[in-house]
Amino acid sequence: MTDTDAPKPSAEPLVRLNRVGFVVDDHTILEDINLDILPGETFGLVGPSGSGKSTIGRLILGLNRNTTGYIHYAGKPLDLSKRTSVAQRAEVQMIFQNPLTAFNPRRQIGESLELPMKNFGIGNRAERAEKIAETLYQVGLDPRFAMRYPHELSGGQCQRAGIARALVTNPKFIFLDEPLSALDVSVQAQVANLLRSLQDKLGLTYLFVANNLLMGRFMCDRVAVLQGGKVIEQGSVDDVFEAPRHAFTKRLVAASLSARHRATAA
Amino acid sequence: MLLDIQGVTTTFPSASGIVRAVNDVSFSIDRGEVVAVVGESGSGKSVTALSVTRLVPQPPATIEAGKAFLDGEDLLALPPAQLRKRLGSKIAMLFQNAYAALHPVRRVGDQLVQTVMQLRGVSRSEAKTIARTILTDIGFSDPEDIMGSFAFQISAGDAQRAMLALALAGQPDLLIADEPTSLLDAIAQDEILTLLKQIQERTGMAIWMITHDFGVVSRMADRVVVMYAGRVVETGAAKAVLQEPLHPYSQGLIASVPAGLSHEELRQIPGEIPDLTALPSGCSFRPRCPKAFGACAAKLPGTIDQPGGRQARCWLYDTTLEAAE
Repeated sequence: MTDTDAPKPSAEPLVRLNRVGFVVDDHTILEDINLDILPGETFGLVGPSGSGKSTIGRLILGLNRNTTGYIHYAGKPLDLSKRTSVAQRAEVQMIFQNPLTAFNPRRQIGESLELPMKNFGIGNRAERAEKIAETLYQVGLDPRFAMRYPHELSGGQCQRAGIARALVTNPKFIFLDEPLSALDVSVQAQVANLLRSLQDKLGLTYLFVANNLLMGRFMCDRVAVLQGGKVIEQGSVDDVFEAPRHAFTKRLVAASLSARHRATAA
Repeated sequence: MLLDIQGVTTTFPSASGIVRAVNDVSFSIDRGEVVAVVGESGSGKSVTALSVTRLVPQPPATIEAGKAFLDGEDLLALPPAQLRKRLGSKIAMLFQNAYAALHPVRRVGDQLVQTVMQLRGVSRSEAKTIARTILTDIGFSDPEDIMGSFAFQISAGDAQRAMLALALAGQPDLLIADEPTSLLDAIAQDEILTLLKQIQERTGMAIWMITHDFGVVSRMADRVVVMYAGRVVETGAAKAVLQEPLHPYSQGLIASVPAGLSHEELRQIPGEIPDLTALPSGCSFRPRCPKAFGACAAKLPGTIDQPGGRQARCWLYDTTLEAAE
């Protein structure tokens, strides 16, 4: 029924979804999802609102539990029991769409950054403070931003802090749920470049939900196109966007790119 | 000329001083023309529209100066009762979040029928017929179905189309569309933009399109007005501005959007949008501008006419300055 390519992994996948389904009450949110996310790559999820993009990320993070199928992380079944999953939970992190609502407004940025480390029992107080300073610097913020509250930051600064919070536990896998779409256009490029350089430097694996296909294309190595909870097409980003095979993908690509194409061809 | 905005200035008080959200803004819209006002947060693009329609809450805002002639009538000087008659029937608005703009506990049909009755002065049964026609025209295959729905029961794209139906109820000469597609996914966005263009071509209605997306501009606009930190920094024909932007801010914005096949690092504008209570001296874009020079810090550049009916507020285009140096 689906004409999805079986991905040809050149490496052992970091995350593997095998026939994953997710049903809430009687609603099928995801059906028969098969994906391999390779270490060090950016895997993109594109599709209309409600197609199940964010849910896939939530399942991998263990925020929801798939009702059918299997999810493997680093070769082992995803284990959600509290006792054994601590190390794995530290390794998978998330960056949110709206950085201003993703921070507790009553906590200084530094406190918000320290919390995940405390949670996972990483370091002592001094070591944690050092890690916070180092990570803020890494994302292009002055370490003194640790003393500020979220409302004292601009949108771009706040998203950098959101990235820093995801990094303090030394993750391997980050789920990015439209991390650019709440930012101003002139700031999006800065944050996109930052995410790519951090990936290279730290060897991160990204799962990237993209509403803006142009940005998705820039960020991703491979993509899966979702419609109604199913993967209808997947492959390298250039293949899917240059030669979409599924009629729905064609429509999606035409809808997204026409504007820019006309702009450059104007 | 349908709408002629001259020197509109709107301020807000804030803890750290007066904010000039709209700072001496002038531009015009012809009958049937699509003008895109492009800018980022804090650019004043929405407050300009809310000032011209006097929908901006006063207080806290104050419209300190300016005129806005609609068919020769200054909207900013009209008595409130007169203004109310113009809104809806001559100017209608489409907002970003249709769910927030639609009534939460009244059916779409009730809202639409009542709006048609009020704006066209027809009976309820006539209004119902008109409502059905409007809904059919904008692509609802089953108008009865959407009329019987509440906002929370319909998709984001349908909610925005229902808003569009309300906006069209009074057959306006000008539709102000404030980021009408930025909350929609690519396909719903495509549908709304196609629809707007069709309606505009069929009815000759002018559109004042507020957006941050140059993709939307290239698709929709005849002319562009680029705003930054409360001021207009560039105006011109959409094609010309997209192809060869004059102001360094427009140049940076257009270049920072990823294009085509390239996975090269994106060009980025350094820094962030300035705090409107503490604007830099001279040109507001100067601290982020790669081409800034001495004159930029000293004095705010005026609006300088360029060939092809274009304008740029930038010292790079001031020939007298060159002669003086």
